[in-house]
Amino acid sequence: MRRPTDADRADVAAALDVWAAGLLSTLERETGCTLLIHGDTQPYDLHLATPEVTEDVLAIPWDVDDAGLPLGPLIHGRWRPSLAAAVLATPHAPGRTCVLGAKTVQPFLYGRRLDGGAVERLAPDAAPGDYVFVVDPGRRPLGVARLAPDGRGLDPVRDLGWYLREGG
Amino acid sequence: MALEPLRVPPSPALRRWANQHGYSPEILARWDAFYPDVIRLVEVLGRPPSKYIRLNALAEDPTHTLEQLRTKGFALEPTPVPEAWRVTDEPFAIGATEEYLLGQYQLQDLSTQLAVMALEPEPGERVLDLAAAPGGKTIQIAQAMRNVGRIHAFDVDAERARALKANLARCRVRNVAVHVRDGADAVEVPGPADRVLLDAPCTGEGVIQRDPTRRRGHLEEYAQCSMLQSRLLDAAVAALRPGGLLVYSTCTLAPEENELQIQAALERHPLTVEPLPEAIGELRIRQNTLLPGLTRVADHKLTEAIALTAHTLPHLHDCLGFYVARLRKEAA
Repeated sequence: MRRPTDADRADVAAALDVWAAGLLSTLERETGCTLLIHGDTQPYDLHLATPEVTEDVLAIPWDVDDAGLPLGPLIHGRWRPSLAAAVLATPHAPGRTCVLGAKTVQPFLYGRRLDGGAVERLAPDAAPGDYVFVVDPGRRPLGVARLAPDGRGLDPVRDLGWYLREGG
Repeated sequence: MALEPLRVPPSPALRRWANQHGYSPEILARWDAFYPDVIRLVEVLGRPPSKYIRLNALAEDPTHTLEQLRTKGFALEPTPVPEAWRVTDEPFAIGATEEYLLGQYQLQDLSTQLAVMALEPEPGERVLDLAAAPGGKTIQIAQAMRNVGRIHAFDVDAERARALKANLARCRVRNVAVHVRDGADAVEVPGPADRVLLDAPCTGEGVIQRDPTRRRGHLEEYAQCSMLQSRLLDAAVAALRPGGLLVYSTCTLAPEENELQIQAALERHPLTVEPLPEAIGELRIRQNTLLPGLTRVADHKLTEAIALTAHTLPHLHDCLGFYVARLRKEAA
């Protein structure tokens, strides 16, 4: 794990700006954490860790692959948020957030694909193929999906139900 | 160092009774020698354990989480342990709510929460958790530290470490680094630790309600486990700063892995046994205080300080069987 270079930081900030202006700084400020990267080149994994954990991790004699909150990978300039990132960042990114109807929350949490009729409110700033956050009618985070090619449906990427199915 | 298993010959009556209930007679004979009311213990071990949750203030105000769960029809009863609630009725599995998935609480037996209460970690410290998966106690440490400072969580099993990472992320923990390595490698973490938790791999007799196969355990397993525990204890002491605190715990009833392990550690390391914090010492669970550690085990007479360690037992405390010891490394 390593600190980001200036170039890394610019890439990450740009990728998160697509979701909400200044999102990286907002998340760092809100959590009191700093950005760490695991991997030499993209795709690499982003983490937010406390300054003390960061200090320790950088001095440990083996490669640490998990520290702090995992935010998800940066893949060729595009950020694919993790579940932990979805919970943290959703309130700050209304433009990239889809709201489900009450009846479609459970299917989403089972990892099911949703057609356009199931989404109460589409993310206004997302285009087909974009990653989006998904919330329930009460605006509680449910996970991450990809806007379907028709611009209306959602293909699941990672829903909170994953914690029960595979997360242990 | 492997500790020789204690052999207590079962009487013919006990042997018959053990076979009727699916237990190894040698295990029941040992329990009868060490603990009160083995008949009641076996009866309770035949039933599912009570369910407990621990509310997570890192994710949500605990009062709000309680309201949300009660609105959904869950019945929750307070316990003497702060933030720990007993589930007395559930309209569906309490581990399947949105609140659980959002990390607002974890499923954690009451007994295991005592280990972190004994550790008393504080914000800003460096804490090691040497056998951390699946992460309930690590999360509890992070809660006590309010996500400030550093925790290094070790587990040698990659699959269990995966669960550990998922649980930490789900519960919004930010101050943990996870190492999929032997806990003994913790000595290489830079800077000595202020506190170390070793919830050691063990024969698991205290969790028979969850894993009935442990009823037919073999005496050789005590020696195997005690060897691993010794090695991890040595590493824990080496990684701890002078004056630092080590909490050793297991979920077994075997003295070889509990009191005798601590006695051996006292003889080879500059450690003293400390009383458990008042919050635990004064605890009454189901009207019973915790059972003091045994100072006489078969032919072994142990140091009196071992009585400062403690057990929970399923038939006395309505939780899993657990052992906890609080040890201070002497200052330089």
